[in-house]
Amino acid sequence: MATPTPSALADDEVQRYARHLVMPEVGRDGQERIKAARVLCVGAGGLGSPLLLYLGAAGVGTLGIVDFDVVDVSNLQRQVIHGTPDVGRKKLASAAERLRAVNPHVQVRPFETRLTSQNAMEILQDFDVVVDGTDNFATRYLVNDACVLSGKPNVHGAVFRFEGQASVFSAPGGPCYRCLYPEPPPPGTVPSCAEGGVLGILPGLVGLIQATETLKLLLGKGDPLVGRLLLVDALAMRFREVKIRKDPACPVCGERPTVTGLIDYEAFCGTRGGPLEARGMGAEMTVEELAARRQAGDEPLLLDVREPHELRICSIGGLHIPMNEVPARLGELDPSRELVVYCRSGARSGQVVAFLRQRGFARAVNLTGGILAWADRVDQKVAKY
Amino acid sequence: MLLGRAEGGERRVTLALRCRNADPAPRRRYALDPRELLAALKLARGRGEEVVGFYHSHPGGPARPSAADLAEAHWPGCAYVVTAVEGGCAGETRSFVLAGSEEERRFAEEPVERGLPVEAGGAGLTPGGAPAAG
Repeated sequence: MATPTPSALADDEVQRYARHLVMPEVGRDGQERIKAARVLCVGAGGLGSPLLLYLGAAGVGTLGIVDFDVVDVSNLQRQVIHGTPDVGRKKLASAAERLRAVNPHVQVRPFETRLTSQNAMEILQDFDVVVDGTDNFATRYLVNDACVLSGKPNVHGAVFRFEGQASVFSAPGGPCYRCLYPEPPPPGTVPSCAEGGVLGILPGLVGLIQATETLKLLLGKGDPLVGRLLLVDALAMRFREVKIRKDPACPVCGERPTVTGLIDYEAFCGTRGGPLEARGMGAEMTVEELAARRQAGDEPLLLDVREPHELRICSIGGLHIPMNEVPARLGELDPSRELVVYCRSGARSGQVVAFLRQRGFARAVNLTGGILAWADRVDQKVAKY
Repeated sequence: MLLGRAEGGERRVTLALRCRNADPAPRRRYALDPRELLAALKLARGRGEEVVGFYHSHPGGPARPSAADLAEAHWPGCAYVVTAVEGGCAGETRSFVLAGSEEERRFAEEPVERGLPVEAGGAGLTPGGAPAAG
């Protein structure tokens, strides 16, 4: 990272940052560096909210924010930069206003757009550090690759339910996100926070770890989370570390990189396009067909991919492997057998079928409409939830 | 890696995951591939369990942790299980819990009890970590 040229502090800033100025690790020089720094935050959501508030309060001179979303009432449980009156407003407008109230010395540079392969390099070029507050794999790989290609550190954070992780990728000599995860997970195998939920405080915890790492990078102090992935388990309240090495075979930061420019990340992550058959769509069985097969004593093997707590509500039988365990438990399934995968509505099971078909399970089909359809059209005694 | 439950100072193993030895000198040392470690953590989460320990063998060596094992052990409360291997056959198996602070780590031996058969599997290299909160 190019160290920003220090930017002199005005008198009111000296008062404002008094608790920093007395710290030997920060001091006037450090605070001037923070003021001169330009930090880009991709996403003003769960992670972006707390880290932007604290980086703004700490006096980061320029805060870039990339977001195109609108504040929804379901965001407020964790996205603390936005308030109840902001529901329906652009997140950018809401975040910028709040940041100005927190610290008028901060210059906010809003980018009201989705970060894309076309605009990422141009947006990143004016910043010293990039903080990843994204909510999807395609943008996360895009942020990573753009940081590696432009030689900027990528302060990573991710959360799910009670767990989170943080690291600093793409720092000089350190690994990048792709050294750890060369390939994205098959589409649909990792539930999003919208599907799986997230404890409201968790992005606060992880976002502030990202903010801490960002300030350390700007100051050049301490041991940054380079080559270390910090795992946060809020339920056990346990922090653990996993050592990660730079992968010489990494496709983007390795010795012979094959990714030398930004690619189509939606296609890379399988989140767009592709023939229906290849994605498993179209490989469906209706509940009527399953009922008829069952009655005829010719029932195919059923696979229930719901979460264990859903099983307690109702079940229509078969083998149970929760969706996120399927990739690791493929060995329990016979690829040559007919397999009817189901969940509550057919959405998750459809994704599992797409995954299974990619892995050679040519006879895997999705139960269209899932348990809800079964309860409506075959057996009304089955509970709907 | 060993998955299971930890309660009242005891660890009950339900699943043993075989992992690749990522160390460049695999006959003398062992190192976990972080991707496998994350996959195992994710699997444990899905099962409502946790990673309760790590197991490895000492070909031609004793069933106790080496100095390198201690230096590389960073997960307090986890069992580090070592099996001696002599002439290609598994010998004694002992288990050591990592105790103490990060600065002063030590292994405390614990009794090993063989209960119900433990499930075995391989850790798939599926990315852990999930999308951040949107």
